[in-house]
Amino acid sequence: MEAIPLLENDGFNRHDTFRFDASPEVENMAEEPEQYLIFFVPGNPGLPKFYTHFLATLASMLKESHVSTPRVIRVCAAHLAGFQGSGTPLSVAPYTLQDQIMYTESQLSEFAKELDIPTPRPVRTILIGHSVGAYIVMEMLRRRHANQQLSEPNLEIVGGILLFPTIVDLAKSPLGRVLSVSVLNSLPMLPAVPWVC
Amino acid sequence: MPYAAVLAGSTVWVLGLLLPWILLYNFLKWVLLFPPWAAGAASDFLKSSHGIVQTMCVAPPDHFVPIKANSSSYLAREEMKHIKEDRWGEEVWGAEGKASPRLVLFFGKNVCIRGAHEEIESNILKRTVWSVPRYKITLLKLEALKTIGKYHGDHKYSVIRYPILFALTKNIAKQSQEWFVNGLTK
Repeated sequence: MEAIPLLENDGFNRHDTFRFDASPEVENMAEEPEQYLIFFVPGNPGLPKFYTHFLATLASMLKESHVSTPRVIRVCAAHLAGFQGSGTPLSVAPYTLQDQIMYTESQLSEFAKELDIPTPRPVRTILIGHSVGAYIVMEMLRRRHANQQLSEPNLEIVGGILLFPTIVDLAKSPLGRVLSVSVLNSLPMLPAVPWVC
Repeated sequence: MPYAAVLAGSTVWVLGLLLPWILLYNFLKWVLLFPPWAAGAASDFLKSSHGIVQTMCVAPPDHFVPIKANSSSYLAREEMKHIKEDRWGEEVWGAEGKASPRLVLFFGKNVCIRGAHEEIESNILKRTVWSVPRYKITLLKLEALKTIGKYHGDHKYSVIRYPILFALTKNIAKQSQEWFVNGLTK
């Protein structure tokens, strides 16, 4: 499985994104292929690189699927705001959870713009979220329902896969109690050191 | 040790600060037995300029961002603060006769949200019984995760979670693929 080359940084800080072609081979290519986009939202920390193995495995399995109708399947991954590589200093960081939701929406919109597909039907889109990424996916679904303007005209979100979703009462979970806000507040300033160095 | 995850994570962060990328990579690979891809990703994360602050909510110096220390504006703390009750209605979970995306949820037994996932599951099943067609939501429990139950406390916020979690990559990817091919697109 070969990853599609990453796009150049286009001002959207997207050089950390990943894309895979997962289209299965079908003998009968006479039919107009159905178009699919699988959009992955990582958990915290929000680096898609952590998920490369998973996404490549998924793409490989999809590619080997036995299907009767031709399908074009693209798998791509976003990153969360603030997790870009060291070469991309951000002017406003860190980001809130709400910021992350909006930032992820904007990345999906950017992907949608790139999908220059001559088909009358919208691209069927599946959102996958891991951990807090699942929460972001759920919020994206809710916000799109509430505000149709957030929906891209060429995308139709038809499904969601939530991996180990942290979507309710995180603080009540066993580890949530350990990592309570008070503990988080009391952590030393060690992670701030990179800014000092 | 209830703080083992924090302690382990902090130790790795210190090493991340002190070691150059290549030494960090080899430490993660050979000492902590990360798979090569995970060691590379974790090293990138630890050496990135913003990732750690964004992840763990410890404030950077004031001159870097105009957010004061101990503000609640960082992602880990944001998760704790904002992820509370099930806030979604039938517009997300679905309802009979209404078009909405179909969802599949993977819960890991004893991983991360053990206390919460039963509640989610219960709520979803209630909705399923009341108003949502059963095919709308699929709940999959990864039984294999039982075997790594001893790590449940380390799952969240620890950099060592990824090799553990993604040791199951093939299992999760396979189930996702099957759902995609057999459940969603038919």
